[in-house]
Amino acid sequence: MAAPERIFADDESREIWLDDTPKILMVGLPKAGKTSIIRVIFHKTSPYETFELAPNRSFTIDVQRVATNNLIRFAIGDAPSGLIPDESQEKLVYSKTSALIVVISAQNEPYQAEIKHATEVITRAWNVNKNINFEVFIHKVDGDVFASSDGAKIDCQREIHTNLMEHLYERGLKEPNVTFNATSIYDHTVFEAFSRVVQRLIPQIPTLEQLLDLLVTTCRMEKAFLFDVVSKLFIATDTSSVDAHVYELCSDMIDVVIDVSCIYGSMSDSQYDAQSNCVINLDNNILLYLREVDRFLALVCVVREEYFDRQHMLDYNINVFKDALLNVFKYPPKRPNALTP
Amino acid sequence: MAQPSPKKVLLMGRAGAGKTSMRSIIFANYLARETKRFTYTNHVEQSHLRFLGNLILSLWDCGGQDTFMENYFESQREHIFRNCEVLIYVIGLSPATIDIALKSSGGNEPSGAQSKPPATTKEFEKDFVYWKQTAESIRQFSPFATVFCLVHKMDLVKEQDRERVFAFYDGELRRLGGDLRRIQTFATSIWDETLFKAWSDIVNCLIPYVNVLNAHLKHFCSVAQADEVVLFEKSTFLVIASASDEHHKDPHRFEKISNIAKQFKLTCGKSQANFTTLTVQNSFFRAFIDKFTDNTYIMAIITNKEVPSAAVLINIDLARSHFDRIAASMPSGPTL
Ligand SMILES: Nc1nc2c(ncn2[C@@H]2O[C@H](COP(=O)(O)OP(=O)(O)OP(=O)(O)O)[C@@H](O)[C@H]2O)c(=O)[nH]1
Ligand SMILES: Nc1nc2c(ncn2[C@@H]2O[C@H](COP(=O)(O)OP(=O)(O)O)[C@@H](O)[C@H]2O)c(=O)[nH]1
Ligand SMILES: [Mg+2]
Repeated sequence: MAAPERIFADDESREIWLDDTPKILMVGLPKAGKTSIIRVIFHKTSPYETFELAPNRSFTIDVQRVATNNLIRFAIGDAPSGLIPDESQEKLVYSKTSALIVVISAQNEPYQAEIKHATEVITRAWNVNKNINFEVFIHKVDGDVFASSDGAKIDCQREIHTNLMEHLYERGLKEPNVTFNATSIYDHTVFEAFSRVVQRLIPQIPTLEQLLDLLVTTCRMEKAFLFDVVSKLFIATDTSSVDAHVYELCSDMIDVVIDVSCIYGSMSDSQYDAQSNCVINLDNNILLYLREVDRFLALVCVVREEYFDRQHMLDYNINVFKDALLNVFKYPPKRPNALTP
Repeated sequence: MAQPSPKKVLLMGRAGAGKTSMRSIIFANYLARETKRFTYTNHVEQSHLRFLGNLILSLWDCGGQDTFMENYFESQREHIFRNCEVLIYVIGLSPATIDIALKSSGGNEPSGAQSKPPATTKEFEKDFVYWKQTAESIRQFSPFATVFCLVHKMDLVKEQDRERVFAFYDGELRRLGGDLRRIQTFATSIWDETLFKAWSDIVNCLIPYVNVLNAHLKHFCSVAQADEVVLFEKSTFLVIASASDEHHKDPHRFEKISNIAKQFKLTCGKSQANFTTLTVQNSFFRAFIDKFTDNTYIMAIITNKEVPSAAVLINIDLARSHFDRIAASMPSGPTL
């Protein structure tokens, strides 16, 4: 294949790539699921509609900006399948890349071509920019092979992990910063994995975690999440461990709020506004409470019913959290992994 | 209270039409994507479903492979079609049949059979051949049955073509149904709320005294100063009754709420829980969805800012015991 003259689809894409916001680059072999992931998370395409996606044949990177609120600000590049930028372009591409997501289809055993491609891309990117977070999505862990047990999932992850790390070691990458995630667009895994990728790009995360920890302790909550309601990515949570089912409930609660508000909210205004809130009582003494805390940001709390009796106390503490949040936006720390030229 | 006898509901249509999928989603808490794994139904799968406490549906899911279908119209005809209260005939669309439907409904007449690929035409026509036979059999053995035709898998049709494809099937089904009374047709898909609309109407024709419920709900709606009030069945979230005070822009809103609530219920199920109350609000409205009587949930929508939330909850509490009493006083009504 001859080297394409241009690596970006158009001038606008190039301009976005060169500005200062963090960049996430998605790469992978044909049909790995890159475009589907972007569509499902950022365009609300339902997973079954991704069957018709045409492959990206233009040999250029599609770049789109995501900027919904004060914390979610980055750009995603959807690279053409199998892309490995050549030497004249790789500096341009990788010097601006903050996170490189390598999508590998778990349904393509024995993964030889996938490992080879991943090794090549990661090694070259590493040689240009040592600050990149490498994220491997072991994707499509659904369907018949993976439905029956967790065993298949674990085996497949282990195989790809060991193989890829060995290959990288041989190429001289002694301690590359690679994270592995098993994902599927048919459930919450892809949202959770992408959330983690985005979180590693937000320098305020440690502060936000501290604030959430404080809130959780003060109000005796079980768990608290800060969500972007547009993408449903969660931006931060307190430092206690995340239970998959609890996370799913909180994430689905956002759908409930947005969908019901779309039906009964007024036609002209935004459906998600400063008064947006939602309370859900479960029959196991757990209560879910959602409050708007900033433009398109929602705080979702999991509380035992008995601690919700004085709701005004809870609301007071959430307001304190809101104020602290404003300060976090006002004084952002320097992004740690920007490449100094 | 007399124990009512089960009501026979026939679910018919060719193999792969989507019969088992829709019944599993509505009555058995399946997610739409989980139906991909289903294999063909063998012969007739009967299930007894309890709805609203003492309404029992005997659902006959009739496997649709050709050999079975032929049996239904020959040796098993009376066994299948007698004593039937509701017939649901499902036509599952496919890219090939959609294509033919669009061609046949276009401005110019189709120019004869030879211009179409023969194999798919045959598949296309089979839906109608079996429908004709089904309609004849039901007329003979259960002349008072209510008949529903679902033009299913509408998601496969491009948005702008949906109306045309549906109008075409609607016309053909009515034409070939002969003098069959009361056919109701629906466009459905397991991927959106249309499935809930169709099935709400289906079960509604089986619930006695729906009018009484609607009347009481109307009264409650005005007392509570609500914009509208909707009653849902607890496990399926199908709409049983509703009352609206205001005209609303979205005619599909109730089935959308059914879909939203059901999806959330399924997520709760993963944590071995269910929700009992759910309130959503923004600066314009407040929505209260509450577990109501033993077998129902109620939803009240309030936009009047002067009505305090506490008052709404008290009104719902009062209505709860009132509806319990109504249900108890009906000779063979629903056990709410
Ligand atoms: N695209 C789409 N697919 C659907 C829809 N409903 C069902 N399907 C799919 O159609 C296939 C066949 O569904 P079944 O429910 O097994 O069909 P059936 O009518 O019970 O078939 P028999 O039991 O053989 O008569 C499954 O793969 C479903 O996932 C729909 O609304 N849209
Ligand atoms: N089973 C399954 N299929 C998926 C998943 N994600 C994407 N796909 C399918 O994989 C195919 C290729 O996806 P696409 O996004 O076009 O791949 P790309 O070439 O990497 O952009 C499509 O048919 C998708 O529906 C997943 O999580 N599970
Ligand atoms: Mg079946």
